[in-house]
Amino acid sequence: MSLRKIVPYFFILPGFLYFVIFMLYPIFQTVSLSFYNWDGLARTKQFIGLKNYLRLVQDPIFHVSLSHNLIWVALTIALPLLIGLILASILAGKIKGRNVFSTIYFIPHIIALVVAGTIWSWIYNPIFGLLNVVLKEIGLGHLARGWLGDPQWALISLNMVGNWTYFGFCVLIFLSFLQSVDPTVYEAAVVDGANSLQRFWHITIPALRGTIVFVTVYSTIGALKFFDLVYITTRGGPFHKTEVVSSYMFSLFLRQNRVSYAASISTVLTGIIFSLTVTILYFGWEKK
Amino acid sequence: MKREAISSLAKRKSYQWRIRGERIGVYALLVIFAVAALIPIIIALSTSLKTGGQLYENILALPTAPEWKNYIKVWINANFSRYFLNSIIVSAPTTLMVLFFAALAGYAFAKLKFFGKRSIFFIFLLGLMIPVPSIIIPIYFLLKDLKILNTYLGLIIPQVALGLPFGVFLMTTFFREIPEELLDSARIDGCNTLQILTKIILPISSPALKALVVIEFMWAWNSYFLPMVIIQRDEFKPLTVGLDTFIGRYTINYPMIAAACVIIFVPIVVLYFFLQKEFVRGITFGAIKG
Repeated sequence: MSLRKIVPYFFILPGFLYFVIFMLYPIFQTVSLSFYNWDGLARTKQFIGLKNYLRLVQDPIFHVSLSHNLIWVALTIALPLLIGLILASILAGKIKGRNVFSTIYFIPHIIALVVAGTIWSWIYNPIFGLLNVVLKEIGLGHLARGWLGDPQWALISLNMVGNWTYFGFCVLIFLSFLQSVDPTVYEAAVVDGANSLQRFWHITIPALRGTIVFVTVYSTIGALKFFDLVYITTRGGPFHKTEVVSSYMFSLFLRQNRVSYAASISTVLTGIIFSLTVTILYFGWEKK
Repeated sequence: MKREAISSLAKRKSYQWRIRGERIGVYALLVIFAVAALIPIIIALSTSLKTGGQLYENILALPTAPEWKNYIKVWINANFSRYFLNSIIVSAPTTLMVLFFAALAGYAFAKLKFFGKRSIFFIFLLGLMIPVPSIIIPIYFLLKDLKILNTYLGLIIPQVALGLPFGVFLMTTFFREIPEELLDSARIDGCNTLQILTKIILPISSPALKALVVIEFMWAWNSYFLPMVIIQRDEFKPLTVGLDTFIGRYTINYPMIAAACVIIFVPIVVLYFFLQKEFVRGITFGAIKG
């Protein structure tokens, strides 16, 4: 009798134990590390309480990094998510070659981010990069600049790379969900005289409500924790203009050996991700 | 009467033209995005086959005489053959281990009853929110103490942990769809709990298993942050870190860097073309049923 009740645990335990040891416990270790003053090499460490967090609050680089992450969240929701939504709703209609399009859109997503960043850094190259060359060809040469080297444009330029890799993912998710929506609802709306915009707003968006919330959460988490694009291209430069929380934490940890301070930054990041996720889910689920 | 007939005909025609215009506009939009999606890839491929001089001449032109030597130089001289091997040696076991743990746990969550099921599942779900920076510091020191920094095992172990939450989620979601009657008839035939998994569930889950394999392999192959922290020695670097090193060393040799990039993304793109359905299934399953 009791064996029946124990058996399921044998199936859960391997994965769960692994998860606890290598994912859950380290989170608490990171938090605890942040209350000390350790450089990773010394044999002993001093307890300094919340000093790292006070330092963090006054750290201009941290503020700048976090602001970049938040800008990235906003841009990711505004651009690839919206574009994905629009493209998906177009593709859900009577489009020839729907699969070809969605297949092509998804390809940037499977390319390693370090590769995407590298390729785009040539496109952005001030001298021979595709972007500037095309701008000059069509007579907009005065807009040409050193995209990734320009303090004002570096973050946005990088964000466009991120959007390039991400919009196909959004298209795929929304399209898959849209294909399970009843087409007769749309047909009825056309008969009633609704134009495409009205159909989009009143039918498509409410139907995709849960998926939109999900993609928003996923995008937010991604925009807060991303590292690859920044580090492979600009390493956070110029002058921290593309620094984000994870790249700052990386250089603190590995390049400056300020282990405990890096731990406090990680902890704050985790906290922000958790709270933003919960907030979005709460507001997304409210009307249900 | 005639005037009304003519004007209504004219209205219908202009309506048809408007619809046609709308259709052309829509397809143009779709094509623009398709082109935007592909251009950087084409640039990478084309740049990789140029010589340095050809590159500065005209970025847009395709190479007239493909310089395959670039690939040989990258593969041999720049050690990319080794990096490629490393990526495989790390990504394959990671994928298999995630599959193993996730299938077992997913089965239990989907089909078995036990105390604390909801809470434990919820905890796994929390794992989806945990970013690498949150755990990298203690993991680094743990691996250091175990003396497995700069080894394959040292990279595989945390990567499996990072892939687990999604794997468990995917497997659970898929297994839930399997009809109870199938399991009941197996139980009547005398199968125990484990046999139900191996003889009934796994064989018919091959789409979901393939999807998980494909997704996890891609994530492991493309991962960068984790190996940057854990692997410092050149002989153990996977392709992504190898690229970073390579760029540092060959900063302006763009054709060679392009060749390196192509080497990194070609395996995954090839995998994608053969297993498209599985990729799509893996990505969308989590979103739709979640």
